[in-house]
Amino acid sequence: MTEYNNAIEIKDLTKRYDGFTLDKLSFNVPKGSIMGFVGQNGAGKSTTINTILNIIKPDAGSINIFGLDHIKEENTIKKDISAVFDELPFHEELNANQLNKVLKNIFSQWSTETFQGYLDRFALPSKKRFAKFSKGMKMKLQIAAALSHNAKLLIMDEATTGLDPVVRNEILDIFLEFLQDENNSILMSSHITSDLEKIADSVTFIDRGKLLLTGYKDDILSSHGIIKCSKKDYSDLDKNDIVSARLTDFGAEALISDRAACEKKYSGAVIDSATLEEIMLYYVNRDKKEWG
Amino acid sequence: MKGIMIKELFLSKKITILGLVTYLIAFIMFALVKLSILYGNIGKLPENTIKTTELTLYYIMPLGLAFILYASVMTNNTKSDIASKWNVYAYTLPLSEKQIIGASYIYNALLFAAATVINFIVYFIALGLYGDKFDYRMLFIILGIGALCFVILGLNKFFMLLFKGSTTKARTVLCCIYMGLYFGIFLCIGQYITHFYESRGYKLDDQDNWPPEASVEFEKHITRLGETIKDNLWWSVPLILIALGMLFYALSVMALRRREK
Repeated sequence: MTEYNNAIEIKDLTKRYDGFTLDKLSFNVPKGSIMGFVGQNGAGKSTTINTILNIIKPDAGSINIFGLDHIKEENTIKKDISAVFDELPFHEELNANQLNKVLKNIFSQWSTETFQGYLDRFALPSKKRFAKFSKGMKMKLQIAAALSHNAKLLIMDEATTGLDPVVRNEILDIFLEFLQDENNSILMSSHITSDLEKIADSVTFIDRGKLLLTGYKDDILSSHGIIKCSKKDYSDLDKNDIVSARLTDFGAEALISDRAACEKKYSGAVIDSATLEEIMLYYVNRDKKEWG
Repeated sequence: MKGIMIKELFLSKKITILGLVTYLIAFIMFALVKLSILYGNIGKLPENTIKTTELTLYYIMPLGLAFILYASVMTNNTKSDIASKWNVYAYTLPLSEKQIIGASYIYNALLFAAATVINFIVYFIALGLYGDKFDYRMLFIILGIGALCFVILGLNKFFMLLFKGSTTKARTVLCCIYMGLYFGIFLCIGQYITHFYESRGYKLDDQDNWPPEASVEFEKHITRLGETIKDNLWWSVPLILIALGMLFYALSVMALRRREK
């Protein structure tokens, strides 16, 4: 495999549906990192992920994985990719032992020991039919399967959605272990931003098919802030500095995208740190500018 | 590819076992009829009736059992793949569409071969129980039944893949095709018989006045046709079925390649 810096490189990715367009999306997932792919429902996260996995065909744009074209080199690339979906993609009449036998004969680098290790760690029964698994068990099973063939890239579509915090934390720990190998990378779509805040190195926000932000999580968090002020003070703010503002009976909260500049410009103003969830919320409402 | 074949095996196991049990029960019933002929009530019937029964069973036992066996071991798991979302997951595996479809075809081809061996053995058992003279054409008919099941399997698979996610659409189209074939064949046979008699000057609305040679002539014609196929064109039957099998394989690969737009 060729040398590469980005596990995934997406350039001008376009996909048109009736009533929705994924519009010239461009971002990279750096090698050895975990990228959170954030957006509200219907933002285009699954479309993007399905296009990366070549489940759906893009109308325009290019996707390189490990520096290789994702369609021309599909079979080479897919040996080193694992996909985890929000729903179990295995037949419910199968059990873990049978799944092991199936996948062992599909992936050349499949490790039964690793798979069994994950089953033990997650306390998943190997002879119980998947139909009798809970949602959390099904997700753990998918992750066990995804991590048992020495994949270099894990692509997850809403994998932690619907899971309780204990299971989610357990799974997030596994991802961090996976990233101990600096050649491994993760692209993880989610609208549970607290998970991403915990583990992501970089974040890409999309909304209504358009890229809003992409970059290192720490840079995004440090560059954004929320000014909390009265309505009168808010009216004095330069609206160009503001992404959007939430107006309530008690005052205003405005998201700014250049915290350092605003701290100088509005000295004395209270500027709090913004969470990823707040950043998403304010960006989603950017067209309204003021909302409440 | 082997992994997909193992998956097919796991998914088909239940229905195959059920089919084999049905097969075994039917087989035992055929054997019991023979026991009844030898020692039971059927043996008390007139000799002609016994002979007719034996002749009928000589054909029904191997051909009927062949149909049960082929139909129960060759399975199509496409619907289950779609319902479980495996078909989407399969796109993320390091396998080409040819390999994914090919694995299912090879799996069914292996079962077809195994079922054929069993069916041939059963034919020889039927021959021992009810027949008197070995007829190699029976082996070809058994193979033909198997090949037909294989082609139907390919056809079903193709339409299931073509209308991915909509098994109702696939079933509707398949139902139309099978009904079309069924009535089409009747229509063609009817037209063929009409043409045969009219070209020889026989009026169809005057059948009561036809000379006895008329039906004999037709019987001879059909026998000649059968002999011609048997002696010279017998190879065309498996060839056509193999060609159809390959066609449906290619179409299934194309259907699987067709990504969501």
